[in-house]
Amino acid sequence: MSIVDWVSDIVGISAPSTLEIIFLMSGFLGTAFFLILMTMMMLGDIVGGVFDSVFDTDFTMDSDLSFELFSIQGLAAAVMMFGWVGMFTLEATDTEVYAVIVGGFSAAASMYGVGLMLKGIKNLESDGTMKHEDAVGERGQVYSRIRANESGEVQVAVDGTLRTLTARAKDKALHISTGEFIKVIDVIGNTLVVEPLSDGEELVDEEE
Amino acid sequence: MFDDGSDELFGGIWPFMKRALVFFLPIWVFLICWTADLHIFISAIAAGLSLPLIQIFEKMKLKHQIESESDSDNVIK
Repeated sequence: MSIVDWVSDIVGISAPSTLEIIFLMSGFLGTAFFLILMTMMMLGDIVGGVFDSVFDTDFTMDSDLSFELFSIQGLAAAVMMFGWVGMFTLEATDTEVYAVIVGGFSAAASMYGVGLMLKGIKNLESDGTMKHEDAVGERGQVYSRIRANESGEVQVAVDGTLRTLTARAKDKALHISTGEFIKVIDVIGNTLVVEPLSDGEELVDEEE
Repeated sequence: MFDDGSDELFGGIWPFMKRALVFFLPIWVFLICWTADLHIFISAIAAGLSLPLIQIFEKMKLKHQIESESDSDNVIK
C-alpha cells in the first residue's frame, strides 16, 4: 500500500483523481511538517530550559533563527491549508477550478496570518534605545534658543523620559527664544524639526 | 552590493512573502489553467509568465514608496 492509498483510506476517498492526490498529499505532508516543526520548537524550548538550569548556561535561540523557523512554519501552514481547503471545496462543489482558486486564497490567508504573527513578535522586541522618531508629534520647551537657520536645543518627553535634544526650526527664518513652547514636526538624523506652538493649540491643550 | 530597499516593504514581511510567492504562484497558476482544461503547454507558459509579475509588483511598490518618501522629505522651507 502506497502512502497515497494510505492517506486516501484515512480521508475516505477511493480511486482519487490527480488533483485529489495533489490536495491530499499537500494537506497530509503540510500537516505532518507543521506538527513536526511545532513539536521540535516546543521540545527545543524544554531541552534548552533543562540545559540552562543543569549547566547554568544560556542556550537561547537568536531572533534570526526563530524567524527562519516561523517562516518555514508559515510555508507548512500554507501547504496544509491549500491541501485541506482545496479538498473540501472539491468535494463540496465538484468543480476543480474553484477548488484550486479557493485553496490558493486560503493558503495566502494562512501565510498572511503568519506574517501578522511575525510582525507582532517583531514589535515585542525592545532594546531600550531611544528612537528620535518617537519624538514626532510631542510638545516641549526650548532649552537653548534656536536662531534663524541654526540649531538649538529643546526639551521634549520621548518614550516617557524628558530629554534635551538638538533642534532646528521648520521655518529657516524663524528665531525661537528660550522657554517658548514648541511641537516636533519631523526628525532628520538626530536633529528634531520643530515649530512654535500657536496660541490656539496651547488653549486646546489646556482644555484637554 | 546595493540595498534596493525591498526588505522594508510590507513592514519587513516582503522578503518572506516573495520567496513563498516565487515558489507557489507558478504552481497555483498552472493548476488553475490545467483544471480549466487549457492545454498543458499554455498552462506552463502562463505559470512561467506569473513570475515576472512578482518582480513588477515589487518595483511598483518600491517606486511608490520612494516617491512618497521624497515628498515628505521637504520639511524645511
